[in-house]
Amino acid sequence: MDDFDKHVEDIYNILDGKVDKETIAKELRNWIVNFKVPIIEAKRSIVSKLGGDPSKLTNNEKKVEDLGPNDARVDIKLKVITINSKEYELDGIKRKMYYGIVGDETGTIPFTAWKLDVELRKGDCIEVKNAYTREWQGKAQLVFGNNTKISLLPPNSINVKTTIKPAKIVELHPKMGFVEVVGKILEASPKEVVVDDVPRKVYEGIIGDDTGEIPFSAWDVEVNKGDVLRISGAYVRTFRGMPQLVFDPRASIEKREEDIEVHEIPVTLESLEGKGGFNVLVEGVIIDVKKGSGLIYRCPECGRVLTSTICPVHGKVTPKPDLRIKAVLDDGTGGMICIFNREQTEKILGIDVNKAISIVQENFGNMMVIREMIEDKLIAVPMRLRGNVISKEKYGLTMLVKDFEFINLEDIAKNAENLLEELGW
Amino acid sequence: MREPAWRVFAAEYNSSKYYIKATEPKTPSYVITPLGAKISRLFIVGVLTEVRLITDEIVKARIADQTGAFYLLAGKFNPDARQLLETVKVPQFVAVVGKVNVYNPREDLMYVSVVPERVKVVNEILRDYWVFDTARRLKIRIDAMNEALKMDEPTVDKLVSLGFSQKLSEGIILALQRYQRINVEKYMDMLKDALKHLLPEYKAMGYELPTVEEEEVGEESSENEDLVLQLIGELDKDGKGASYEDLLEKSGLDEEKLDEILLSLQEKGEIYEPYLGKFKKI
Repeated sequence: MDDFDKHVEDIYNILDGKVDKETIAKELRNWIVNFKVPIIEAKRSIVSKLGGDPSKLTNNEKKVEDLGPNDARVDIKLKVITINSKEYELDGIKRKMYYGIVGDETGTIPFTAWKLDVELRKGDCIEVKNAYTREWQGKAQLVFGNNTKISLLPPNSINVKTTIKPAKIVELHPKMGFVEVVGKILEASPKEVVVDDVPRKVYEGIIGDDTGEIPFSAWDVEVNKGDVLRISGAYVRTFRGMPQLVFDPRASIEKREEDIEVHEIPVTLESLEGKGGFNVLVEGVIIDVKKGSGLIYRCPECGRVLTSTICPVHGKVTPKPDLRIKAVLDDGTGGMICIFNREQTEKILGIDVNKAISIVQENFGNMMVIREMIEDKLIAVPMRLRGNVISKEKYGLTMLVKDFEFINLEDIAKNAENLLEELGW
Repeated sequence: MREPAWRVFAAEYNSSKYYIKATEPKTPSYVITPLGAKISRLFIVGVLTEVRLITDEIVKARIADQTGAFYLLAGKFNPDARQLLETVKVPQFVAVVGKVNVYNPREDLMYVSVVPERVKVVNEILRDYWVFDTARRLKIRIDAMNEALKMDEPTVDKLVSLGFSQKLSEGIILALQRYQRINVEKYMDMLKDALKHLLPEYKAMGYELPTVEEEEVGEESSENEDLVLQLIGELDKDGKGASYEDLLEKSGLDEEKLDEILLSLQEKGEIYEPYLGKFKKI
């Protein structure tokens, strides 16, 4: 097909076949030969004259490898590698956004979608019109905005060139694409599930390395507690507000003979921002004790914290006393709300709920007394906490404390000496 | 996300000459230190050495560490902190969580202080832990700054790829853009000094609560004091006090000397500082 025929074809396609090719060819020849109009201008004018949309002539079709950080208009064919959703509120309305990884035969890129015309699932092949890119943490990210059109392509019509990034478990993030980790299976249990009418076996559990732990789900791959594995080609998704590692037989999985050490190095709060963490160990100082700490009363039916004997749902009730702490731990890189339950609060205060009630009574019903006792015990005190951390856009990080300990302050001189030696004093 | 409560020594904080003011309400403002700490909130444990009521609503205080002193400014929006500062006896170990505050009398002149959100009386061991904690964080900033200074074109990405955190890398690049000469060596000495104070042999040498400087006033000093006192009266034209930079210019003294005299005059009850950097006769 020579150029002329190709231009006719272009125009024909944009007009959806409403005008036959002979008519188009005659028009085009007239403009070019008789009027000497440049080809691009001629095409635009003809499309416009025959009732089509000339903006469709511009070809913005790109490949992933061509994408820069600030491309205003991107048309691209992609395969969805991972997709996660997140709810947020704007102007009082709950909305949903999506994010994950897409790719084509030239590479992969993270994406964010503010709305989706079609329900997308992992593995879908799509044609995207009028998306754009922006910079996210120094790298290009594809954005599907309000003017983006997405349509489904036949399954498996796009192959993806995968780049696999080696990573430590503490670094894992849903926007990373494919990763390679070396870790030890700390827990694993098999489960039978049915996906699209096909029964499949999935192993769920926890994998760890010297930087941390993460829950995993392994599809149609048998893993056993105690295995040390090199998994190349897994990916990370968000599951219940925390990152989860996912892999199946398409990943290359190699069993290692040597044992590896599993974590115990506290992670920084900064590294948990925007993704949370599973069973993480953090170390910092308590810098605030929030309202709602100390002696509280809950609805016996639903556990809501009440300020009177009326539960908004269950009406008049006899509230049950409880103790808890909502404190802010700060490690110099970030801050996190941490919630201590009744048992932990009793341990920190050295008193039980009944004692707390009688202390409040002795103070003429002033509930602040207990909170002040907590502040006295905790503010400015360094602690080491372990638990699951959830990251939310609006509230930041929150940990439900599983274990806690006060940092041993006896060793400061020794630690100072070690650091001085390292500095070569 | 919550702004981290940075651990920095007073000398590093007080050398800051760079302030990023919040452009929208409810967003944080930042002080950038020469070593790239991008601070909106701080956590300090030190020795409260001085508390002064400036007005009914404003209390000024000094909290010393081994490198210098933080200036605290508690106003009507910090009633709890203010009350504690007013009632506590000095010297005393205290922990403070606070927000950065700056006073910018001139474009090229900036004084930093801390507005306390929380103040708590603590013990010596928590102070020692803070010194150690602050020292090891200072070491990370020194390392990051040294790496950045080695690069032809330092960028956030390059620092992150070396393993430094995103926030610190951003701070380092901001500091490099703003500060012409960054004396990393000075901070390394400061780091070692701070750590040495934690060793038993140094403690035994009597390093304990730093006392408020009570140097003997020599004859020359007292002459200078008279001069400064006179200048404060003359330069206080708008009733708000004489500005520090005017005093510096007119007195012909160097900064160190002037600071010393101003402090001495304040202690004698001759003058007070109604606003940071403004001095008035009592």
